[in-house]
Amino acid sequence: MESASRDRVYRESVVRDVKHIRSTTRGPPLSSDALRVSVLGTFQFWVADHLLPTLPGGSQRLLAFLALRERAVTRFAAAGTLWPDATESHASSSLRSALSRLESVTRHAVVATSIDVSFADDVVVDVRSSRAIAHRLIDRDGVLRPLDLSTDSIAALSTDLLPDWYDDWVVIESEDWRQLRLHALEALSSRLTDERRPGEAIQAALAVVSTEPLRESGQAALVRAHLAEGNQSEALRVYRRYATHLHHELGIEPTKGLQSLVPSLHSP
Amino acid sequence: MATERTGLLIIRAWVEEGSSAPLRAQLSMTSDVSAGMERTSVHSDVDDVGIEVEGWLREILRGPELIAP
Repeated sequence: MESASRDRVYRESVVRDVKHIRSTTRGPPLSSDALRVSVLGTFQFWVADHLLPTLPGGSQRLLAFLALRERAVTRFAAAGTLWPDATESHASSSLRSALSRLESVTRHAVVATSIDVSFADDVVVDVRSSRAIAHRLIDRDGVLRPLDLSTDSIAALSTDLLPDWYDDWVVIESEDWRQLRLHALEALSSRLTDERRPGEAIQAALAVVSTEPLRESGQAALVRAHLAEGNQSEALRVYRRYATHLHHELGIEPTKGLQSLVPSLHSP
Repeated sequence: MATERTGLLIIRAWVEEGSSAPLRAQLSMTSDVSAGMERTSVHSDVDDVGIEVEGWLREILRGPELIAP
């Protein structure tokens, strides 16, 4: 079987376990009149409860670029990043054009001076809040907020950033987010296991292994969560599924560390 | 003169401590980003990753009409 086919079969197997998570990936927009930009999954622009129809490609790229920047960006840097193959003057002209083509609603989201461009302070960006959750979860000494240990957090950490966009500035941000969210989901699963909430811990760990099946720390988190719930048979099933996938892909076995987690493997 | 076609190859690599073959390298690649990612592969051997990258570069040079499905 082709590597891609095996990977698809494995993922489909995991997705059957995790499908109930996906339906809650993106929550409803804020109830206020806030402008809200989503870059997790597809690009979306919300005004209060209303999702704007698909924006022109140039507007989407400009708004997505600003959504991924926490601070104001000089016009020079923005133009050079968004139009890397253009001359400096053409890139600057393209930026002016993109700004002028923003529609009235989306224009309210952008603050453009002669020096730099940024989002207005009241624009809510989903990946910014999700990053904040991730950092709080990873920091073992940090102070968690009440909803950090929840299925809302699992949903906030379960989606890739603009997965079908291949601009350099998106790919780098997307990979950075992917690594951050996988670490955060494992930390979330561990914390939920410690809190004796194995059901949610399993959901968090499944979100990891459905994204990255060969990541053994994710598989270990899933095994631990099943064991915390008292389900040795489920832990063994997870182990065997991973071992089979690893053997098919790379011809090797799981580490001794993972094997040692599964009591059934050591039973006489 | 450069063509309008751009390829993209992303290698996600990490180390699984304690494994008999600790390298994990997951490659996602396309010879034309306008078509999206065309295939993925995983390897635990450095040389295999090199071979995969070389093959992808040769696909870029050959052009779309000769690229294997």
